Amino acid sequence: MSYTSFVYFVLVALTAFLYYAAPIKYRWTILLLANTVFYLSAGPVEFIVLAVSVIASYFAADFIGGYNRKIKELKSMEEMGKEEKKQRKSVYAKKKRNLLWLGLGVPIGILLVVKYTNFVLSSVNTVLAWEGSAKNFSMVSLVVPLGISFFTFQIIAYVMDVYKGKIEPVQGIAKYYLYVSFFPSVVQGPIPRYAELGHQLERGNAFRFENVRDGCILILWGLAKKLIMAQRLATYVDSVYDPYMYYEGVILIVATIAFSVQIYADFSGCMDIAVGTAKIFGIELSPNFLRPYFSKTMPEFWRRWHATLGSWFRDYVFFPFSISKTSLKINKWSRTHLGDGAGKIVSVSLPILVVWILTGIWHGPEWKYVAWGLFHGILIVLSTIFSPKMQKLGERLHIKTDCFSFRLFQMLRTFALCCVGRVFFRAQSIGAAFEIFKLTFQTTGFYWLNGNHFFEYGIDRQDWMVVLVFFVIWFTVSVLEEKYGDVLQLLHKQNLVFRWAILYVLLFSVIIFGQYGPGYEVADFIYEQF
Amino acid sequence: MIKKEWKNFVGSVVFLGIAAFLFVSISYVMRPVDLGNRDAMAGFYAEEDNTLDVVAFGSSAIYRFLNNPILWEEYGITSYNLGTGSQQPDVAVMLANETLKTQKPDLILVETRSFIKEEKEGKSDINFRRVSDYMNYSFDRIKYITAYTDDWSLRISMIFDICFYHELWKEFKITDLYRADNKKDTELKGWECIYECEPQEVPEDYSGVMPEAIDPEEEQELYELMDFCEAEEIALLFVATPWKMTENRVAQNKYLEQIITKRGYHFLNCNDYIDEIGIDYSKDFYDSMHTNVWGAEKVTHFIGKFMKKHFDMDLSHDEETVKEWNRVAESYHEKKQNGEKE
Repeated sequence: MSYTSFVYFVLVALTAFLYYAAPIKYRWTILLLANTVFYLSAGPVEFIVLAVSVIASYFAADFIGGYNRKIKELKSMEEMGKEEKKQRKSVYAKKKRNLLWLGLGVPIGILLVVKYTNFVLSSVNTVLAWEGSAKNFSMVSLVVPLGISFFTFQIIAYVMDVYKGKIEPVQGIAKYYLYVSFFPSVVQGPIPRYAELGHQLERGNAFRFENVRDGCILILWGLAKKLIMAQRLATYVDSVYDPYMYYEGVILIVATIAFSVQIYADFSGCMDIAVGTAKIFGIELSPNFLRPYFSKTMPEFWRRWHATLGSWFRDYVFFPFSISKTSLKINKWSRTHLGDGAGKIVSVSLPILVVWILTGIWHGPEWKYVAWGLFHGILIVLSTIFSPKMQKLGERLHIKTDCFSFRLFQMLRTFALCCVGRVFFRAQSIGAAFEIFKLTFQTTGFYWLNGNHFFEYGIDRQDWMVVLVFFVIWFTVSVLEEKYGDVLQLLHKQNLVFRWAILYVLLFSVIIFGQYGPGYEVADFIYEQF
Repeated sequence: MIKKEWKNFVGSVVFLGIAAFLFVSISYVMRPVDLGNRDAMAGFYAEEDNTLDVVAFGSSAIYRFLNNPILWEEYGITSYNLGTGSQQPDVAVMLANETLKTQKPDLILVETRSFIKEEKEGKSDINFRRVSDYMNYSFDRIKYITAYTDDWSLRISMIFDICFYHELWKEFKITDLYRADNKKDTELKGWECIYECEPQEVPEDYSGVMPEAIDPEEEQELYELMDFCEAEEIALLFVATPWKMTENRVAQNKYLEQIITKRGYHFLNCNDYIDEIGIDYSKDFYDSMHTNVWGAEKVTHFIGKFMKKHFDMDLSHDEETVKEWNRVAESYHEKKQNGEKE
């Protein structure tokens, strides 16, 4: 069930009606039902996979919580000797660890099997082919459940948080399932933590007109991004990137920039629909996009782009890895053998590179995503290492940095670097990505941009005009958000005629200029496949 | 608090009301120009309420054979051709129901060509859309569309036809705004003047052929139309306009005549009265299936006489209606003269 489909909006409307009609105490059950309907629409096998992950992680976390309580109770047991306490604590900690392996192992195992089996097999086949072996493993046909990468990360976050004692385990598997499968976010995120979402889902929210109104506006805004902007640009980008070998120079640059805008419109549009849907039920989801193309550095970009994924990797991979025994051993070894300077670089780089390689693999079982992750990892390492040095250099050369022009330069630089990474992301393979780099710079190819050619890539002059107008509107909204924060609140402060005019224009722009309905295959959201 | 809630509620209702009004108006504007006789429905909606004596349904044959200005001029009958390209029997009840919302005709005339087929044809969405996509938004429209198809995505694209046509914004002209109320005055009440002439062969005589059943589904649709008109107490006249039919079609035409007359309705098969009508196959057709303006005049005279003779119609009209229809007749003659000169 796509977030842009008519059926989805029927589900949302029906769920909202039943939610507010039900007594507050039972409202969470309506959401539970909606989650099940939504997820079952993907197929029964997908639902079973989700259920197995939920059951395993729920009981593991529940027992972990039990041992947490026992460990706490040990402290108050004055009659027990110190040595015995220590011994019992050690037993409990071991049991907790075993349960943690179970709680994480099942969902992660399922994720690895369904998503990465063919990746491993094809990589082995490639190695075998290099070595001249005739052996070839055939690919297996596996159902990849909807949003598996997203709900698995939610599960990991929950089990880890319970393990660390940050949260108490959920009382009742139904409520846990409600959190994991929350239908607006299960497919593409945001990746919510139990601490921020759980109680919102369970408490049953009172009807507030403002929530429903703002939720609907956000959904509409998300649809505009997806159907007006992303769909059109997708047509253009596909028509250049799929037969990339016929193009060269500037047209590939334009297509890459267009893809950067397309993926932003697509993903942030979906997030607006997800956040808007949740808002209708009075539930606040964390924002996933904070106008990332205004970022001045790559680290800043990744705090603004897919923010919940970034914070997830920070909390559950970067920090644990940085303080892990393995990491500490490597740091110690590198400082001893390579010296303090190089050792420091290794200690900074290693966790970042681990995070980014994993981020790449998370996006998809293909080497191009690994390359994309590695590219960003290297950029962030370089940025971390050289930023202080560049700052000092700037000061010595008296370069004025506290001005608009320098900030603009930084933004354009970050955007350009981001676009380079996008080539890996969009190309059909890692080989194709390098080929595209070669074709891009071997000639200028300006003739591809003249009117006769430029409007032949699936979208015509009028479509480009729509893209341009929407881009200007979106840019203006983004600038206002940067300056004033919540643009919706800004809109509500305006007088009624202006407010309604804006909303009618938005509504009918989606209806008229959106690319949907017969004749259009509304492409899946890009992040849906991850 | 309660005051604020009421304010929000009323505000929402007004907002959604305006949105619905705009949605409907924009849908009408976005509808395509070239999907059959696109102005037929808009012209019908533009008619003053309760001013039509006869409303005619059918495929392209109806607006090429039945000359409404002549029907008025010679027989005092106000009529409208609610015909659309390849109109099928499956829209008949829907059209009859739509007709009765604004008109109280004494008679509904049905051109029967679409009931007889060379081969069995499946449902044609486009033929259905040629009617449904030009109708006003209403619950009845939703009801008939829902009955037409089980496919939800097709239903949605038919009910909210803007989903199907929104891409036509690229062809939008400011003058299209006149269609915002789905009304457009038609000069000749759904009649199309065609002056070209293409001589046709005289049809073979298949009078000895045995009747052959029509498509059972379409036969059922015919009965449903009869039931509907009986319930609404409206007279029905079935007319087979002249054209060169194959043996197969003649056989089905005979069957059609049998089942229609059996129910007590008139079936006027013009093909049996070619000499009486005065049809000249070398002059009166512009293609193998349709008459030109001269052929249509002859057929219209024949049908007009038949209606006058067999149906008890109240042909009294108010001053405004008479004025309007005299204008239509004048307009027709002017057009005809200009066409003849060309």
